[in-house]
Amino acid sequence: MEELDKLKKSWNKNIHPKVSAESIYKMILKKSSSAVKWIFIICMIELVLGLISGIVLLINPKNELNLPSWLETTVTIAGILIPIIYSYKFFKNYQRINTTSSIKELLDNIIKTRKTVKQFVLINLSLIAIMVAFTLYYTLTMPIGINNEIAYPLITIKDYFILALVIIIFTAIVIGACLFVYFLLYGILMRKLNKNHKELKQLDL
Amino acid sequence: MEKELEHSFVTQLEKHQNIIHKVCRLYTNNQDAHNDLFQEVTIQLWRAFPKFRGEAKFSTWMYRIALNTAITLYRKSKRRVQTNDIADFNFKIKSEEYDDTEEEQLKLMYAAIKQLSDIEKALIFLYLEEKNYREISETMGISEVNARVKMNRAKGKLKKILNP
Repeated sequence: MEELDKLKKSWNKNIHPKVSAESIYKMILKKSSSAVKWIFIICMIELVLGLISGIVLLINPKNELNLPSWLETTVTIAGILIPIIYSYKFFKNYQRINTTSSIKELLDNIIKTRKTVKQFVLINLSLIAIMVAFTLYYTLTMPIGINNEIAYPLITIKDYFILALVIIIFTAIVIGACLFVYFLLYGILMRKLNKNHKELKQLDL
Repeated sequence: MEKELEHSFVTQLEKHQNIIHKVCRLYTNNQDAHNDLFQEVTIQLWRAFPKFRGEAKFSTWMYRIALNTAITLYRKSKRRVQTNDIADFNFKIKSEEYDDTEEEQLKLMYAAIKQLSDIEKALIFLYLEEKNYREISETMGISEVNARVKMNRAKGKLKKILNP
């Protein structure tokens, strides 16, 4: 291509005003604004929140929720194990992010790191949804204990239904709002990366 | 030790800074963005410098980090070092070969390259830097065959932009 070859000839003749050593010294003291830095910060917040919720589940007795013991044990174990496993996976993947890798490898590693935390968040949200569903089920169907006596709530099926609906809608709105902010945030950070990754990946097809 | 490392880094970067400027010119559209990307590349290079063993040439090592920063890491920042060093965004060809028509054509060429995708720009950049297909495929992380295919497509796209 003639035009490109012309540019090739002039390419190294381009003179650009030099940045002084003094300015370079100043620059290396500045903080990076890279997308990876922000992805790391957000992922850390997600993992820490996950760990805190796991610890809360461990130390907080749930007897008042009338949940069966098998469910409490499962949720407690999951609440502790999942953040630990995913924190390990996250740091292992994060260590692989290296600016001297090839462009495709770097994109692969960033996206893999991000996917690990995405999986973690989805598992946590699923756990919350399961907990809400079970709590709702057991609270509405099991008799409640008042002063060591068993009493049955004096409400009708219609009331149960309305209460369940309100709780489900409320939970859905809260989770939906969280997901919206979450995907919006990641959407902005990952848009460029995903686009470039897709373009390189298409070559392999 | 840190001071020595800093000095060695700054000296080498000052010498090879044209590579960063060339990347910045392809990936940014104005002076501010140019300076901003220049700073981010410098930060990324400095972070990676302690691991630079000198097995590759400093300039070769810079290509990867500069391209990786432009393509994957770069986000606009307001914390830029205010410098007047880069005062003129318009590049000039050395005066002895200065030619108005040539410069006009080059401007059009740059404008056309800027319409390409980030990946295509990287390929064109490596082509202009006279890298062979083995080096291009290694830098991009794709096979040599795919690098050739993608390069031909990028050139075709440029031709179409320049001769609609």
